[in-house]
Amino acid sequence: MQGVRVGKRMIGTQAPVTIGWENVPRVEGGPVKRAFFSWFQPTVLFALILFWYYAPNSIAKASTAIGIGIGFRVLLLTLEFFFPKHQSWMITWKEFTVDLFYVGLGYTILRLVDTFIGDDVMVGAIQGAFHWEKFAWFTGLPILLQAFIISFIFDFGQYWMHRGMHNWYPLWLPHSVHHYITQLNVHKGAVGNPVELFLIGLGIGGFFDFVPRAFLLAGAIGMSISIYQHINVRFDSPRWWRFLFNTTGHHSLHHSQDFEATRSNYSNTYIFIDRIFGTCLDGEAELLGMEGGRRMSIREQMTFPFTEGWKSIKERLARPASIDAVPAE
Amino acid sequence: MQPSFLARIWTIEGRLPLPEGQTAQETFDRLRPMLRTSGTAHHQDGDTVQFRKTDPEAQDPLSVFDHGTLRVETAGDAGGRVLHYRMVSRILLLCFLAPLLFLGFSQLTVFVGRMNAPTAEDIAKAEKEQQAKEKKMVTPVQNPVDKFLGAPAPEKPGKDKPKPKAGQPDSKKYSPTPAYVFACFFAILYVFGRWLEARLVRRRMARLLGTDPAGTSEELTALAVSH
Repeated sequence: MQGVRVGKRMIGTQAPVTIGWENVPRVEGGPVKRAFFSWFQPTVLFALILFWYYAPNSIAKASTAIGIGIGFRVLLLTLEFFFPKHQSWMITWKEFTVDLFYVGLGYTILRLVDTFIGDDVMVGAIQGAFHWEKFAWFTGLPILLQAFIISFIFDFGQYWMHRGMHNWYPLWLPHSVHHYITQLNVHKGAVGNPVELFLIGLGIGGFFDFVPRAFLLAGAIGMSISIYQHINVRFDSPRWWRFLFNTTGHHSLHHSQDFEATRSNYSNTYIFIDRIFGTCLDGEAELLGMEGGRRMSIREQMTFPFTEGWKSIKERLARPASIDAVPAE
Repeated sequence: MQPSFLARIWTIEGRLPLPEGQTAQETFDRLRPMLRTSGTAHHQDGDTVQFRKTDPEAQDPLSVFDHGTLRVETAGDAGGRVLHYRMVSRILLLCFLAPLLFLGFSQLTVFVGRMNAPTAEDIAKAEKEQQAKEKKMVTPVQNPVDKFLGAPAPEKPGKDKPKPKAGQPDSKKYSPTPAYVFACFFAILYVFGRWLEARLVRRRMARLLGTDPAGTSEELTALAVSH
């Protein structure tokens, strides 16, 4: 395949991708449908910001956030069932069940393990820090600014962790299995090896109800933008949204079967971080996955990082050390 | 042979009447597009086809099944022919067992909570540490912009937090509720999936064989390879 030149890179030489927003198909249908799918995302974002900004302290808690998150996911699952972006990404019983298994692991056993590996300490520090005098300069800022700073710092860290996962083999191993997904659906973000989730996850569940409001706002902003990374719905996002925020199109390129396209769009929420560091690709892809689209079973998702890691170690140990040959005199 | 009662958990079996005069070869030729998918190996031996799947694609119509047998048989004394299908699904079995797994997680959570229940000394130590921390704590001052816009004033945390009791696990931190909820989800998913997949595979094969009048020729082609 010829591919498309983007900066110094050739994108789409191994698998078909669409580069450039002008080439991406638009939502088809009547004016109401088109308006709905154009304004859904900004409306939800601003509604959640208003909710968390004005919610009384009695309901501004982690449990409320979890409830909203679950309700929102149910809504998105319904949307992707009735308005799928790609037929080849339709949710099936098996896909839904397997995805929910990974989500269930996150809410149960992984949450339990998190309490033993420092989650407690981090959560306690965050809860405490918001009431220390030395952080008063920060907590005295307007709360929306606090929320943006928190979510930006988090996403900045996520960007570099994710970029590291695609560039450094020990981090690639636990992350690689997530890239074997062949379609994007609401719960596909949870599909992967638990080791990766430990690396990237500070779960909101660890807060057990007291969360500084700025964090709740930051979480809401993050959720109402990044949740669309893995979803089978076409949105005609406004131009400013596509410039600032990660979209399904961006993330589908990151998951495509084209290797060079996967080395793009690393951020979770703010795609402008990718723009700053030259790793942004605007567009979309439908053909996703690795090894030509081989779907990976749950068993292999759990074992692959270790079996591949072990293979690599054996290969490295078996390779003879290079010896500079010195001619015999 | 009918699968045992237990085996019906993960085995889907049925019989589809074939059109008058349709031979075994014609039957399998009609069904072949459904078997020609990535990760599927199939083998025909006379009036029997066996298939096996490895990492089937997500949109594969038979993705739920790991292996199966399709056999053309004579249907009793009437002399008509039927397609007898029997397909085994590991994912159905795992979905059936998943509630047990999550119940296991719930009990593990309860056990760990009990093991980590604070003693009276732990509670006293934690209270001292909290008091020392509170000396450094101040209620954040609300920004004038937020005050002007009517946002609720921030308050100090923990005033409504229940005091821990010696020997009692932290009920929020070690709550088994999420595990119970997921156990229920998978129980419901299993019942629904067992019914749905049996219905879907029967309907697909019936349309390919031409015994389902609802299927048009375009649908037959689309159903054969659902991409």
